[in-house]
Amino acid sequence: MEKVIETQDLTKAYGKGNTEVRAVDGVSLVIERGEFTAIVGPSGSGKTTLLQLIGGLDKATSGKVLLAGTAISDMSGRALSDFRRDHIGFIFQAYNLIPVLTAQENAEYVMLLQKRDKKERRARVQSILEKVGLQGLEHRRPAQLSGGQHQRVAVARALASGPDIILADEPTANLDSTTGADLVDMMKTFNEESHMTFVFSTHDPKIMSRAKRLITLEDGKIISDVRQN
Amino acid sequence: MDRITIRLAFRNILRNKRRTGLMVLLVSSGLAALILTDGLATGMIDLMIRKVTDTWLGEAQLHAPEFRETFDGVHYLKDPSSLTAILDAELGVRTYTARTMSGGMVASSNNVTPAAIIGVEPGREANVSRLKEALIEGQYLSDDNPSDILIGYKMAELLEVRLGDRIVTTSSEVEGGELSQALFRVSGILKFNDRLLDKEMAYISLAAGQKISGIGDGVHEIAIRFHADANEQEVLDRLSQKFTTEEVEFLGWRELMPDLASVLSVNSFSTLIVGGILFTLVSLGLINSMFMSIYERHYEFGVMLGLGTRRRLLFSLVCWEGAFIGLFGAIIGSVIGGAIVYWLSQTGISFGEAEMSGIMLNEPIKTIARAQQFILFPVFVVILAGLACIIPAIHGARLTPSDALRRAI
Repeated sequence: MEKVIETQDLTKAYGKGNTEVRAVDGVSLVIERGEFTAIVGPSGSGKTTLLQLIGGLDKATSGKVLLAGTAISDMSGRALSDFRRDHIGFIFQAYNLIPVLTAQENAEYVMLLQKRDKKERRARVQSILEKVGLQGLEHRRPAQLSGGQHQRVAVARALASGPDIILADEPTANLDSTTGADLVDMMKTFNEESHMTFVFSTHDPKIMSRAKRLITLEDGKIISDVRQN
Repeated sequence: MDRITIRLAFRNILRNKRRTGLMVLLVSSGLAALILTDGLATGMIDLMIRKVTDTWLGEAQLHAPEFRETFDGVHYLKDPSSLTAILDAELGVRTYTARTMSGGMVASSNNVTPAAIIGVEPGREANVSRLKEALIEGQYLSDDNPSDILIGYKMAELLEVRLGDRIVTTSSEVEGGELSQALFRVSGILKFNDRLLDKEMAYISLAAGQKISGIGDGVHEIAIRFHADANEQEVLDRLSQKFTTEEVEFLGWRELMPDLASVLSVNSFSTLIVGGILFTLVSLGLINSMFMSIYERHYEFGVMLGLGTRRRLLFSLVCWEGAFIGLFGAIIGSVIGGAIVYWLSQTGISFGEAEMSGIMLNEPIKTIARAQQFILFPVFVVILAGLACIIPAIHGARLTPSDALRRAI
């Protein structure tokens, strides 16, 4: 199977000497294309930091991150921004959407950055918004959408640009359990249909059970890595 | 620039209407104040020039060389007709008038005072200066009544004379220096609202003036007025080239009143200075508000950066937000400033008996609207508003995604 994410002894430390805190401590892992992986652990275990390092949102203190064979840990500036734009889809915990853009415009946003043709953008976004169950709500702004609908738009945006990987940092944290479960089920459906790689963090046991692979972090280290049916 | 940036910028400034409204008010107030300042400065300059050229001086004058240095009547223009022929041929010249000038005394039965005794061509003089308009009592001069004299109201008070009273002028003839006395009847009282003209000058007909000076057909001064729509500098240049002999000195009003010309040239910087101060203050307000706006949007900027938005786009976004605020402020400021300038162009602002560079500004200063107030100034405002946001824009663009996203919601 193709390696799509690989980290090599990845470390992120804050402070120095006696006050140093390692949010991520020597994490080495490989995630293959098409995996549906949950990174779990208690608060402060380093889940968000690991996802941010994988997504190039933060710089590692040491170690490497390779995405689809490209060492993004060596990138910076415009090259890194462009790589994120073209290869990574993000779903954040909350306030994912740009408040002044409609649902459709939010979903199109990354494709706008990619300077895709308007017709192509519109057609693709329309199709994906239907798939996530938001047809008819395209012209609403985030303030007019529920929390669950927000996250659906975020999923649509992440999928629309056709990335290699989708990283979701506790996407269900601000949702009720039913809505959260529905969201993860939707992501799983997309994973199975499009073979797109999903990596998300959670501490919700109901959500964990839907993942095919569970990587457990504690104090910045991987303490277990299991595949489940 | 991407349309997405402009679309985002425009919508972003409408998010917090109160803050945007206040910033627009700040910018528009600054621009309105600047338009008013420029309108007032232009109006004041216009008033000063009119005061000088309309009241007595004219746009240019001809004299014999050395006359203005000494005001000695012996330096007079011996052949004025040859000079007026040149003026008649110049299209930019509307009219002119010849004058004699004698220094002497004016005496009534009650008092005596030194005075400049000016001989004028009544008809022409009325079209060159405000002599006829200044008449508050009695009759204007005419060539048919060579014994009539006009004096200022302050001179009349000093001499304790009224209309019809007789006064005697004493001066010396230019040739030989013989004392010359002449009897005149006060036919009119003048009020120029100018201390010099109201107290120290008396006006008689040109023929009478030539007689008491003993200069035959000569004159001491020819005052010239240009057509209102003539290019003043071009007319001055053409006439300068024609009056090149050593027997005549041709000077424009700026050379006749060098102090005023200096004041006016300095005045032209006043709007620049006021604008600089005003918009420094406006810029500081904009910078502060924009920083607040960015601090509130740290997380949102983190999301945008995380999605692959280039820093340059975020930088442009903030600058465009500033430019839009500048644009709205410029439109509103132009309307407010224009309305105030229009209103004051009709009513004027009275400064009482203010004097500046020897010129009495004793009539209301009316503002004057100029094209640059409504074209150049607003454009500068928009650009300046965008530039003022550069510092906050740099801050926003330099955020790291992880730091921005870590901000507590």
